[in-house]
This record gives sequence, C-alpha cells and structure tokens, in this order.
Amino acid sequence: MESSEHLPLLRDADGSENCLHFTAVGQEDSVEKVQVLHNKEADGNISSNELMMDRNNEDNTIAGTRDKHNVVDTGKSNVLNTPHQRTEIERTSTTPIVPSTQPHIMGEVSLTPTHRTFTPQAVNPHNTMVAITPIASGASQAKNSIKLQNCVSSVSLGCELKLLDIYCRTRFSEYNPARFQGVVMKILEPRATALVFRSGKIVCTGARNEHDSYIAARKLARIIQKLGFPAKFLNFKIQNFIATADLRFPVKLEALQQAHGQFASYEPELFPGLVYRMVRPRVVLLIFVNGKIVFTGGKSRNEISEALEIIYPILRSYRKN
Amino acid sequence: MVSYFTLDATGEVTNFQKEISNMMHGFGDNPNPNAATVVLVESIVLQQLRQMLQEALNYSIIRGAKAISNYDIIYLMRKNIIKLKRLHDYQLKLDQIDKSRQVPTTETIMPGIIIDDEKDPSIKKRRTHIDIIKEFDEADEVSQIKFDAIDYLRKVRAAKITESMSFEKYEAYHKARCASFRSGYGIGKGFMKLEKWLNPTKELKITLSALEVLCFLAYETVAEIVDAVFFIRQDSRKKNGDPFSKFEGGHFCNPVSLNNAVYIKSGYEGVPAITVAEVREVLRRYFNPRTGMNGLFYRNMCMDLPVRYIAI
Repeated sequence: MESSEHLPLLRDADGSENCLHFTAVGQEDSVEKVQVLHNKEADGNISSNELMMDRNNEDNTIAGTRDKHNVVDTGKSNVLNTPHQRTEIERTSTTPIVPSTQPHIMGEVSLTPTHRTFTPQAVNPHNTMVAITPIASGASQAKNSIKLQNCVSSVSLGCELKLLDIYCRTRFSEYNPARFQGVVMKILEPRATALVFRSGKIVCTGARNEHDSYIAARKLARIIQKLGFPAKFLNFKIQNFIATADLRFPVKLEALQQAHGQFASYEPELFPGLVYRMVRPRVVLLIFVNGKIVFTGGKSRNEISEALEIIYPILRSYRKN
Repeated sequence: MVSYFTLDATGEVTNFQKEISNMMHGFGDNPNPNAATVVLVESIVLQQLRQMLQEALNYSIIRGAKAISNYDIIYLMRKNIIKLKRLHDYQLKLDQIDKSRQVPTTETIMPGIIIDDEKDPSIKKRRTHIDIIKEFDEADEVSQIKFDAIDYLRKVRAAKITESMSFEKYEAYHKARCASFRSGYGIGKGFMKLEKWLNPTKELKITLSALEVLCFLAYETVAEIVDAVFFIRQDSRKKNGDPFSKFEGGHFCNPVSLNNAVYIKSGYEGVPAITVAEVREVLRRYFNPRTGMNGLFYRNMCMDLPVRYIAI
C-alpha cells in the first residue's frame, strides 16, 4: 500500500521509543518530484506520533477522492498534509500561501495519495531540512547502558572424568582437591574460566556474553575430548547473567527500602547497596546510591531488560535531586 | 585474673572514633558530631565489649572451650529476646548479602554454587548464630517475633532524615551509614581492627564468629545510645499542657506517633550535636537501679556491681 510506505518516516526505523523527529522529509515520487515537508513539534511523545499517523491514514483514504491542491509555503516551508493542519497553519503563519506555479499535476497522482500538497523543486530541499539528533528517553538510555559483565553457563560432557589426569595434561589448570573438588581450567580466547567436575559437568564463567560462553564451553569440551574422554556436548545452558546498568541519577535508598520493604533489604552497615529481589522476572538487583545497578540471577538478556523496565519507573520516583 | 581495663599501652593506637562519629551521623546526629561525645561513646562501647568478653571468657572456661566463641556471647544475650531476634535477622541478612555477592566475584570464589547448590562445600553454613539462638530459645519465642520494631523505627528515622537532603549531603550521609566496626570498606570486611581494639595483647582467643557477634553488639550499643539520646530530648522538650509538644522536630519516632506521622519532622539541618551531658544522662538512666534484684531497697548480699549491657 502506498500510504503505508512513507508512514515510517514519521517514526524511526524500528518503531521504538527513540523518537526521531524529522523537520523535513524529502520524498521522491514516481510521477514527479514532490517534496513533502512535515514540520512537527519536537515532542518526545510516541503517542502523539501515533496519533499523527492515524490521522494521516484517515486522510489518505479520502485523498484520492478529493481534488488535489498544490500548496507551497515558501517562507517557513511548512507544507500541510491534512486539512486540519492546514487550517491551523493558515491561521498561525504569517507568510502567504502561494499557489503552485504548476497548475496541475501530471500523471497518476492518486497513486501518491497522502499529500495533496506537492511542491515543485523550487528550492533545494536540503536547505530546508534540519537534522535533529534523536533524543532518547531516560528509560531507553538506561536500557542502552546495560552491559553484560559475566555469563555463567553449564554443560554436561556425559562421561565420567579423571580430574587428576586432566589436571596433569592441560595447561592453565588448577586442581586442589582439599580446597575444591573440581579442576579449574582457563582458556585465553575467549577468556573464560571453567570448573570441571568428576561427573563430567562443566561450569563456564568469566565470558562476557552468551556467545563467548558457548564458544568457551565448546573449546573446553574439545580439549577434554582430545585427552581421550568420550566427551559429548549435552544440555548447554546459560545459568546466570551478570549485568550492570547506569541510571544516571542518584536514588534515595532509604525511601525505596521503606516502600518496598518486602522485596528490598538495605543495610548500609553490611553492604552499601540495596538488594532488591524481584519476583517476576526472578532477578536480584543491587541498587547503589549513585544510580548504578547490578543484575544477577537472570537467565537471559530478556529477563534483565525486563527487570530494568520494571524497576526504572520505581527508581525514578525515588530519585534524589 | 588480669583486668582488661588497664591493658591499652601497646604502641599504635587503635580507635574507632571516626567510625563512631560516622555511625552517630547515620543514626541521626548532626553531620559533625561533638568530638568529646564521640570519645565518650567510644570508651563506653569499649568498656561494654570488654565486660562482655570477660563474662564470656568465664563461661567458655566453664564450658571447657579453647576459645571464646559466639556461643558464649550469645549466651549473654539469652534473656533479651528482641536482641536475639535482631541477631537472627542479622545473620539472615549477612547470608543473603554473601549469596548475592558471591555471584559477581565468581572468579575468585567457587562459582559451583550456582549449579551444585546442595553439595557445594564453600557455601556450607559458616554462621551458626541462628542455631545457637534456637538452642537457647527453648520456648521458641524468637520465631514468634514477626516485627522488628527497633529496626523499623531506625529505618523510618533514616528515611525521614534523608527526605529533604540535597544530593551532596545525602552522599555524605550514605557514606556515614556505611560505617561499621568491621575494618575496610567493600569486599574484604574483616575483624582485624576490632580484635586489636578489644584484645590488644592477643591474650584472649576469640573466634571469628564471636567477633561477628561482638561487632553486631558494638554497633547496637552506639545505636542504642543515640536512640536513647533522642528519647531524652523528646522528654525534655515536653511542655505542660501541650500533648504534642514532644513530637516537635525530634527524630525519635514513637510508635504512637507513627499513625500521625505529621509530627515527625523531616530534615536534620537543625539537629544540635549530641552533647556529653546527654550521653551521661542516658547512662544514668540505664544504670539507674530499679526495683528488683539491684533495686534501691534490695539488700545486696553479694556486693556485686550490677552488670548491665546497653546493647543486650
């Protein structure tokens, strides 16, 4: 559908909350070059954008039936796309609306339904376009600041292992049965540490993300396989993500603790952060005064971002200013 | 037996003045507590802890133990259920923090807990306070306390104080609240300093778990003193004929007044620093002989001084 084609121009590409605002949008038509200029208020609200879209949609449907005008707004390059808007701008703008130099539009204009306001290329459209950098909302900024720090995964090799044998024949491994009944193996690329147990289970930690963790686990399994054990690669599972995020505003932990007593525990004497046990998703958050958050216990990236989405408005209301 | 009150001269000085001054700030005193008060509070805490140690030592000798363990110190606390409950919660909180802390530092500590939770040796119960509490608490009274009023009041007070604080002040306040009798800040919180302070000649053998309980009690002593000072202030501010006069501007939250929290004023700018006289008044009230065993009209046969611990 033609009308839907240019609608995304109003939003940004993925339709997320990052609202991109175009002051001017150039569009090329199959029939002739037309320029559609939207001058929109820079307001960070997505709902208003959607509202706008709906209105455009409605208009598009009736656009074909009406006769077309060409309206050129030379002064402020405000070009109108809906009757409603038009009257508004006619009321407000001081510049007179000059009729188009071209009396009619050639070709199949109804195929370009939205804008009855076509302008010939009198001015360089680029001059009228102002780039506005996208303004991310606080929530999405915080979301973007999520950084995975550690990823713990487990895998089963499906065979019994002789730990001493593994310890003796591999580099960068430690084995101290008195202290810990597993071999600690390290690999350098991707940098990860693994605990290998006699049962054939491997716990791989220290990798930065799930992919690295997977690669590391595979490499370890391969190493053990090369030592002559019938190693398979079973039940690989990410057990835990540790991620950090930064809210960029300080939080009043005392007040948060008061209001969320059943989830939160804040004992500055013992630990400077507030421990927040979220029930769904099951993630533990360590929230610090300076607005930094540590997420632990999440099983997936999704859970972590979900947890941040839930906690953000809460923390927002306990912002210290 | 050697007295523990005279053994201080061992070269370098160990004191907790900075920590105590921070703690007092955290409990609601002026951001710059009176230096003389801090010294006085420190000496009170030290004396109290050494008295406790002395008594605990006697019990441990009777028990035939080689070192003073948390068992002996919790034994001293056995009559105060509320404090036992607080210690019970203290262990829960510490365990909880350890658990959530353990994950981030997996490189150093065993990360096996994440998977083999049930058979991992490293997470084996290190703290035994709760077990000991259960042992002493035969009527199971501790588990019946559901609400820790002391804790709640302190938290309400802290929340009230921080309500109208600027960020810089809040940051300072937060730092102050982080003070404790553990040495160091962050991961490696140990009891080195506390042990040196209590036991400078290393004459007594004190187990780590006992030091943890002592640390709790020391903190509790400071907290009790500050609480009591606010209580006294509330009394002294009372005007005859005005039933609400005592709620004006103080930080001590009375359970009765919590229903109409209007009377607890927020902010702490105007709080005058706790004076030596106020602390002395607190002590006077604590050690005031009451009726009963150590009361005024009781004929004391054994001529023992009444032993009373502020924190217990």
